[in-house]
Amino acid sequence: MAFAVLEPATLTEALSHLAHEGDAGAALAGGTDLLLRIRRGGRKYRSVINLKFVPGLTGLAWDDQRGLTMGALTTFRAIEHDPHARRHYHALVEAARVIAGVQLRNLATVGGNIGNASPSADSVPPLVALGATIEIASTSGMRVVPVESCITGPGKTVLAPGEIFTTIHIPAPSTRSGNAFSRFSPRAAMDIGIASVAASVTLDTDGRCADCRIALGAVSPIPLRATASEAALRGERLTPALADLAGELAAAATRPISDIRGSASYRRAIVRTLTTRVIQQAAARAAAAGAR
Amino acid sequence: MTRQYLLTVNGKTSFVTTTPDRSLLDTLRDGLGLTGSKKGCDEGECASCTVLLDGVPVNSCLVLVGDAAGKSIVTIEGIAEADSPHPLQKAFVDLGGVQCGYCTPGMIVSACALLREQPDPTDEDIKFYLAGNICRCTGYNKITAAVRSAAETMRAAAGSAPTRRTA
Ligand SMILES: Cc1cc2nc3c(=O)[nH]c(=O)nc-3n(C[C@H](O)[C@H](O)[C@H](O)COP(=O)(O)OP(=O)(O)OC[C@H]3O[C@@H](n4cnc5c(N)ncnc54)[C@H](O)[C@@H]3O)c2cc1C
Ligand code: FES
Ligand code: FES
Repeated sequence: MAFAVLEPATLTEALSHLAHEGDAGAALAGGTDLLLRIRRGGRKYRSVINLKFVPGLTGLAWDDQRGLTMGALTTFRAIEHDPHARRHYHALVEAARVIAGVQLRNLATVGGNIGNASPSADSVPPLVALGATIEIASTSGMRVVPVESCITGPGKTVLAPGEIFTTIHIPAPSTRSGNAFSRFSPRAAMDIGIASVAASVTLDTDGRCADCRIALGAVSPIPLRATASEAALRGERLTPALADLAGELAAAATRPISDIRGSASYRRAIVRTLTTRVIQQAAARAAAAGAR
Repeated sequence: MTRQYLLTVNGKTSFVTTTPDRSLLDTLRDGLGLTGSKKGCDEGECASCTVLLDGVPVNSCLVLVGDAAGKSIVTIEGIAEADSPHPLQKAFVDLGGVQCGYCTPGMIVSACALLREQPDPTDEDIKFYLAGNICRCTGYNKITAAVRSAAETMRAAAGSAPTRRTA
């Protein structure tokens, strides 16, 4: 698995290495996907461009108005411990806590999770439900893309050769809003999700659903919004019957595969139940935030 | 193409010559002869290769040697104090937390990091922290008990009154 390791010390240097190496090079963050892909012989690269020594790509910063900004190389363990993430973005922290074990979360980064573009990437549904955007840099400049449209297929992203993710931004939550994430996997730890759901719910002063975003994981090739469920909730009071209907609509929107972990119909049944539960939990958190 | 890396392992600094695509685990085992860290899977699945990198537990099979250069690396060989076993090592032996022993170095290095972060963990805290450490022998209960017992010993030694908590 011989490859060279380039260790750029600045973003400019990193981008010029990436531009120069093109398809023969790969950006390296935590390496928990990339090194395995190389080791298993799935991909050969002439060089990996290690982004860990580039300043400004890690860490989380909170601003009351702007929300949370984090470097693409922020680890899931750092997210798990961040006080602002824990207070405002339960969905993201709940997802971080189910990813592998502590040792791996000290390595695995959120940018790598998106870059790897697995349909079961656990940080993606929360980031989509929270309306996150991601900043992409290359030698020719910078662009911002919603995380929702960042993944274009299993293992495929909008990144062109020479581009990298630099920063992820999650808007500040509006008042009376709450969010939640839940994943189902046969084993509680060290397993890949059969299905996952993240939701963000904002209530109006009457306790009706003013706005919501629901994202489903591991049940379609690209990140999936449950738009029919969202439409059913908007303007309504979240009764148990409505939460149930939203689950049914979400399940109908999925395009799951059948594999060793579960059949398509099993995944759909799981999505239905998870959606009902997750929107109720997000709404309960929104109500609690409103009461504060 | 080989390179020289300056590695500080268990407080001792030395030069190692290897290729940059080598893992820290292979470098420790083959380059430095420190075979305490185990290679159960080489894929991040078992944590038998856990070492502390600047105090933080990581799967050393997924760390490139260059990412460990210049940092403090602690392996199972550096856990015991002088010639006496670490309280975790003693508790694992006394309470049957060791059977074949393959997972034990990773368990103990990881538990060491846990007890630094949380000196008085509940059973749930222990299970959550060690969820990535796979053991094929003990059934985990004895490992949890050993960590709890070592935590008590260490708190008592640190002078705080031992409190008993249940999960
Ligand atoms: C044992 C084990 C358990 C796991 N469990 C889970 C789990 O429960 N849930 C889950 O979602 N994932 C899981 N994973 C997968 C993996 O850990 C995550 O996807 C992780 O977030 C990848 O991040 P990384 O920093 O290690 O990425 P890397 O391996 O460094 O990179 C992954 C890909 O993204 C690209 N990339 C990385 N950073 C950037 C960047 N800044 N800009 C552009 N491209 C970039 C790389 O070129 C590569 O193609 C598991 C992996 C292992 C080995
Ligand atoms: S050898 Fe590193 S996790 Fe198994
Ligand atoms: S004691 Fe044998 S694997 Fe844990």
